[in-house]
Amino acid sequence: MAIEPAYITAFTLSSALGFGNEAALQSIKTMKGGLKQYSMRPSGTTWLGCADPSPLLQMPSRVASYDNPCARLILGALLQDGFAEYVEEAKQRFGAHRIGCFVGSITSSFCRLEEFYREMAKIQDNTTTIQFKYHGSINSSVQFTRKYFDIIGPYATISTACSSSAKVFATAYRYLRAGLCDAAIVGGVEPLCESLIYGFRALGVLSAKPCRPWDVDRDGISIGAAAGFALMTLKPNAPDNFLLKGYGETSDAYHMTSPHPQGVGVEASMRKALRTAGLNAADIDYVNAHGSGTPMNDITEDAAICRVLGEGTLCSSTKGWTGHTQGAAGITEAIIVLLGMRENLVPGTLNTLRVDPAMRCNLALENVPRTIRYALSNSMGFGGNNATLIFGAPQ
Amino acid sequence: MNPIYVEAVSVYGKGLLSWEHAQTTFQNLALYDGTQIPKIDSSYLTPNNTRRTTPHMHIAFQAAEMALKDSDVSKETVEFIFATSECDLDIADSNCLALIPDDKSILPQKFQNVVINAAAGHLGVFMKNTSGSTTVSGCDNHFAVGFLQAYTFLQENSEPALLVAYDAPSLMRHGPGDRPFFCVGMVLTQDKTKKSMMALTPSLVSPANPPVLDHTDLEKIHATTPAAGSLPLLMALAKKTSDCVELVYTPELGLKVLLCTI
Repeated sequence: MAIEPAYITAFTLSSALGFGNEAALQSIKTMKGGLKQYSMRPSGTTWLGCADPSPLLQMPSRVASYDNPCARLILGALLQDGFAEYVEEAKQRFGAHRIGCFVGSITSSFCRLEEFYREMAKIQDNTTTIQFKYHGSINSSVQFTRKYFDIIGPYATISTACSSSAKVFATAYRYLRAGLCDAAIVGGVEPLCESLIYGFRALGVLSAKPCRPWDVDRDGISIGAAAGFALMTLKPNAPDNFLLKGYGETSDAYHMTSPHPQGVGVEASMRKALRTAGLNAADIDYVNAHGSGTPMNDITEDAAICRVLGEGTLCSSTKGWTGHTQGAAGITEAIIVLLGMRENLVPGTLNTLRVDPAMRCNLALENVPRTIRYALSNSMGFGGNNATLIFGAPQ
Repeated sequence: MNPIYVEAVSVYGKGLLSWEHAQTTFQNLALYDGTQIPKIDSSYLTPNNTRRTTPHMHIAFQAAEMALKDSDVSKETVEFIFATSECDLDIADSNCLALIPDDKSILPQKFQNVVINAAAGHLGVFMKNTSGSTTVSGCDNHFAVGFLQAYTFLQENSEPALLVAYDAPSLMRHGPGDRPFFCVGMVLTQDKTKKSMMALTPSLVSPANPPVLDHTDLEKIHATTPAAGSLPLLMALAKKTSDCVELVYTPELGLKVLLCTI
């Protein structure tokens, strides 16, 4: 049965494409990706999507204990697109205890803990400690965000690997429907973190080149940093609110790090999302694929998309622009979808030159002007964790 | 707020050897013996699976399996909701140490197992579970956060949910401190079933009135292990009478749970 839609009343994205929605949009319109070459240790290179807010950013005193690259990335994002003003307005309207906060991440502020280990090893200090709750805890991002806005409503950190910040939309929707809050901040954050860079190298899926989703020569991911946030309610506050129409959440039940070879998990997730949205395959104008650029991910997702939506629906992967922003990938791509809807633009699949002939879906390599009424976004993560979101244009 | 129903419970902690044993203990706290350590005997821990996973995950497997054993729900389709305070911090520590030398050589298995949803991910593969799986954290209050996640899921979905909240001690020097192991599993349903034990209705209340358990050793576990934030609810469930308990949620808000017999 179809669900009642929720409304996205504000959103903001900061990534390798820049801070704020306009920066992302301009990069996409001018076909200028955000990946930069990075020297690995002890040798080799990869390409990363860095998102560094100004080092001059002032950390407000109420959140000064959290000062680390993760909190700075969040703060840099929250200051864009009038997002903080929208949250303040919701707070005034509903009260601080009625604003929920749900943030997805894999590592949160863990990058600071890694750095601390290196600093201590360098000076051979075994006694100094670090305040884990601010600099290492998975919960530091959601608590930083709550503290920054001085909100005290329900909260959760969602950590389901690379689907984390897609699933925050489904979680927030359910909290809103249960009447536990009147507005919900949903977000995702992933700063650059050596555990991820060298962990994916260990798995053999880190590309030495900018990632090339769907390309015949694709050989892995490029990692990116990002922070994105959206404000959701069950009642619109303006005619231009975007809609969360549906969501699907499934598991592959196949392997901890490899997707199901036939993509049955992501297929089921897309079908669930269509069902909750009350839409048919033909209603979907654009698919933002998970499209990580690994050989296995893309072929299985391509097959699943074609089974669910046919071969004609326009698809692209935007990870060539931002890198794979991990726990922030869901919201990064959700906001790129919303920007595409606003601008009547399907973003192309950057860096992909020769589409793998085994792929059948209708992949947009270049940007395509197109009215998007409904768009679907896939996210897939470790543990065979799948999430699909369907967004609708303002009605 | 509509109630949800608890169909099965499992618990695993010092002096709490099983749900059956825990119920007897909670009805007469003088019986509590914290020196008794339950065994982990999950059937999912075959030699191969044991090698692929870590002790941090094993207690979650145990609680999940014990709760499902006493329930009629399908292990292939029950929704997973796992709650834990942090990832396996022993692996996180090992990965941080591996990143100090210039070769930055993280082991693939340690990378895949450091994600917080590793326990739910592995168990989903073992059980061939294709439903949604969400791992949440709420730091020191993750049981209440997980419980609300399950509650809100069941308000929108008719599929049952398996809630597993767990913590294991870590050697990480910079970590959140010593936390005794503790794990609780609950099978929760939207509608009353043949095996339903009680109806549960949560609500957020202010100001928070954090509970203090009437037993020194259990209160110590309750206060130091986030998964043991479930203890007031478990103790009330063991009484099998209508009751109302409050769980720690935030400094400002408490999670009140109304228990009704059915």
